[in-house]
Amino acid sequence: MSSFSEPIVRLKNHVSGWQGKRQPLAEFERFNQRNLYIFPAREGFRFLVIVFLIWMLGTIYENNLVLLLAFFLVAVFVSTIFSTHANLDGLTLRVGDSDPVFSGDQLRVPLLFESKSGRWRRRVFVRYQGQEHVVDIPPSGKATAQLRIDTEQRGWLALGRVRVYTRYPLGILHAWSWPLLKSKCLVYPKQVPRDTTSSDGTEGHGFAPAGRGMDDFAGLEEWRPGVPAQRIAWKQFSAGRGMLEKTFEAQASNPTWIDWESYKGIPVEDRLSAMCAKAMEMERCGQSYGLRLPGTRLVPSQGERHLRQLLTALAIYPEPPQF
Amino acid sequence: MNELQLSRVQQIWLMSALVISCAPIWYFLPFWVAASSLGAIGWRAYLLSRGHAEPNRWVMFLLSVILGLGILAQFSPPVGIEPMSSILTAAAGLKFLEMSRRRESQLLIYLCLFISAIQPIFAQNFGSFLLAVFSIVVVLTAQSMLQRDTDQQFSLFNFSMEPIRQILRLVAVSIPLTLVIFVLAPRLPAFSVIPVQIESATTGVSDFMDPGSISSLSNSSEVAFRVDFEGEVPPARELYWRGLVLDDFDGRAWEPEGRRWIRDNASIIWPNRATSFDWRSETERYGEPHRYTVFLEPTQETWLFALPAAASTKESIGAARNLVLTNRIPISQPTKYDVVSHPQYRHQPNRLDGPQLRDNLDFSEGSNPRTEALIAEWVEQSGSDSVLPNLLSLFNQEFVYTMEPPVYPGNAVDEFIFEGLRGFCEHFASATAAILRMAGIPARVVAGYQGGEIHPTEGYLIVHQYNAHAWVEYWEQGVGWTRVDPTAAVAPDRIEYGFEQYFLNDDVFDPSLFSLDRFRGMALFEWVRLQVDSLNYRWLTLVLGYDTSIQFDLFKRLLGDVTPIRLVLVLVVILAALLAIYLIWNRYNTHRKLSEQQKILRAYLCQLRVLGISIRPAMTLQDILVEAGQKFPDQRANLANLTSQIEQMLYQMSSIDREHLKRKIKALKLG
Repeated sequence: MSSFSEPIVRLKNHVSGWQGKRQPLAEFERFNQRNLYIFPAREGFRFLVIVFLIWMLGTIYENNLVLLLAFFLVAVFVSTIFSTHANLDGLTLRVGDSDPVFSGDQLRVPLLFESKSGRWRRRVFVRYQGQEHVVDIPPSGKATAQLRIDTEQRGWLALGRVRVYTRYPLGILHAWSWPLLKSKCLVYPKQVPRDTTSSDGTEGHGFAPAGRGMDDFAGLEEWRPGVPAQRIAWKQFSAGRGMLEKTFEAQASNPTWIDWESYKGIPVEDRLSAMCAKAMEMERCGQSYGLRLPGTRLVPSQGERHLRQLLTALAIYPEPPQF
Repeated sequence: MNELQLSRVQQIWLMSALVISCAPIWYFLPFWVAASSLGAIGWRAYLLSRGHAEPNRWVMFLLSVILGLGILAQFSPPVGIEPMSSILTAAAGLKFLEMSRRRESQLLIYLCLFISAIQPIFAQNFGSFLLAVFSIVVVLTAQSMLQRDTDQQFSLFNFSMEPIRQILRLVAVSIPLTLVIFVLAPRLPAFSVIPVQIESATTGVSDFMDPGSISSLSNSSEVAFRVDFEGEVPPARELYWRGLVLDDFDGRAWEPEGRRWIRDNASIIWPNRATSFDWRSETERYGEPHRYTVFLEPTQETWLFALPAAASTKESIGAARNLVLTNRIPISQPTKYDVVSHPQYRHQPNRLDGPQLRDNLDFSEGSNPRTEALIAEWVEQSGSDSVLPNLLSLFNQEFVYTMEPPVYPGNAVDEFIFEGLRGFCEHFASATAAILRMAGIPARVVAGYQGGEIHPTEGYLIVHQYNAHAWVEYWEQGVGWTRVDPTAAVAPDRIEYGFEQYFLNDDVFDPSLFSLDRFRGMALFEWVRLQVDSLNYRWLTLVLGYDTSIQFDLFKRLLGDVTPIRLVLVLVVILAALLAIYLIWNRYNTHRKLSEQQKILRAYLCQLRVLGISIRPAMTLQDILVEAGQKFPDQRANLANLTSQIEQMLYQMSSIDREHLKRKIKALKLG
């Protein structure tokens, strides 16, 4: 770092530290005097130049009415400070729920604005990483801005600061805020299919006992609530024999373990990606599978919920998942 | 729709802003400037109806060149308010024609804002000012429409009042601050005073008087000026408002003297300025003076009206040797000036200069031979001193005062005296001055106003254009110039009671048939007219006339002493007060705009309180239910039902029929 730019960097750090104290990471942000800033927009300076010209005109012609109009425009400018500020003041912003995606895919993050006041909030802009969205929030209503984020990293999405601003009603003042919000958006590891490695780190063919043919039909059992629909014996049901569950040999006897130890010798992210791909494949095949991670163990099962839990555990590794 | 592209609604708003800001000054500009703007708007509207094509760039360039050359040709040199407004309105029209993006339309908005602010230079009455404020409001609304996303098609049916309401609220909030700034802001002295040339000013007084060629006098009731006297208003017969002196007679018409002794600047004395020839010792003033302020409407002339012998201390007002006041530049805006007039005075009592004497005796010999012969006869019979009494009694006995005299195309005085015998003040003044000169008495015609109407409630004097008058002054050794009003000899009531009274009485109509109706209408009309006039007067005194000296007096009265620290302190206090008002109002508003659910809850609790159930702050709805249930056991089910509905509404956001709920709460009658 050159000594020339050092003071600037220090200043930046100082400002962002100050900003961090004023608007720390939060579940939601309610805009108020503490976290809203306001300054004339570029159009505002032009507006003031026009007002100055009008004032000059009134002075040159010694015309009190022209002066009065100039003063009126100054007063409008001052009132606009309040009304522009009021366009954001009292709004609540939070990050909405979004479906998890695999790293590398595009994540859609909804930003939810909520207003409790009885007037419209017009033209509220959201700027985030080069994208700009605009919402109008109805009286006592909600509005959503959909951010599209290209994910690169697995884990909880760190949204970073979002710039929320408005210039309504006259475009001559610019009120803004930089909320830093916690997101509940999860990014799974990228799916990269890869064969397992043997314990010494060379590639081999894993999952030996729990191979194909494990879904042999074993018999029928009394149906219990919670059994996936594809395992209900519909044929028997239609024949009037009641609800029965088809049981399969493989589920009971030979579950597949997606094991951290099976991918020895490759980097952590690649391991997780491979495990992620494997889990997806298992789920597609309708097989039962479990997870072994350092510090985490998921007993074999299958279905949407199980898959989510497993992928979550992979996504947030090394943090242990809490279910 | 593209964010940068203008929507149809936005274009319509921009068009309204353009028309409303420019229309009031089109009237004062060359017609083709207005025509070009209207043409541009029409063209744009045509394009708008056929999609979004902008006109060709070369066409635009050509149009700008043509308009620029037109302005150069019209105004030479192109400086001053008229060329500037022409350029601005033409530019606004062109900009409107070619703009297609929001960014570009900002420039148009600023042009319109500036043009709106020019309006008061052309017309300064209250109504015009309201119009200027209105156009600024429209321009600001257009500005706010530019900020919005307005995709919807414009139609009267989905026309939304919301943006207008928003701007009106902004305007309303801005008014107090505007007034504060207006009162407190320091005024800079004008670096250079630029006269505004506007054609539309009217005046009943002219510096060229040819009564023989006028067959009817305009009796405009427009206000010429208003006067605020410090004490009592003098009686009407003393109110001779001198405006200008006409010395030069060519046998028909009168004009101000063009020669050196009067026109030369040396003979006009300006306050705080050295003068090469001080004639002030020629005038002796004595007695109690009248002190008054005149609010003069624009005349486009430099002359000022005042009672004799007037003096003013205003910087821009000079005093001429013939005892009239004159402004340095033509009066193009309502102007205020203070005057001190001594009704008792002697002007040039001892001697007249040679050229002046010669000019004031010149009756253009031979132009009215019959009159000259008659006067020669009179002088021969009983001396020149008897000419004036003779003449006045002749007027009184044989002449008629009328607003519609015949035209006297030839020797005007001869024809008037011997044939017509009918005329108005100018005929009588002209003839009298000419005849006095024929008799060897120096005389001159004075033009100005006579009388005025006292506002019944406000007490100030209104002088209308129909009060325009002409009279005569003649010179006597030892006395100086003396006023004589020949019209008073013919129609004394015209002077004593004023113009409107005189003609009202003159007007013959059957009082029994029409009078009641007529007077009722007139009374109402009169009342409205006087109210409007007093509004205009207030406007003149409070707003137009507000200047540094009034500002200083006001500060002095409020603060005791005017120091920068006190001024800053006042400003801070006022701003703090405004801010406090805003905050309180805001707080009040948020409370007022409780959500409907909250209102229902409040109504419920209020109803229960009325029924005698004490509700403490910490109680939940269930607690309240228990309490109410104990008090009114038979209503327990109904109350439980209501409570659960309110809870559902409040906490589950479920769609409860709120109207139904409200009705149920209202119908709650226990015990």
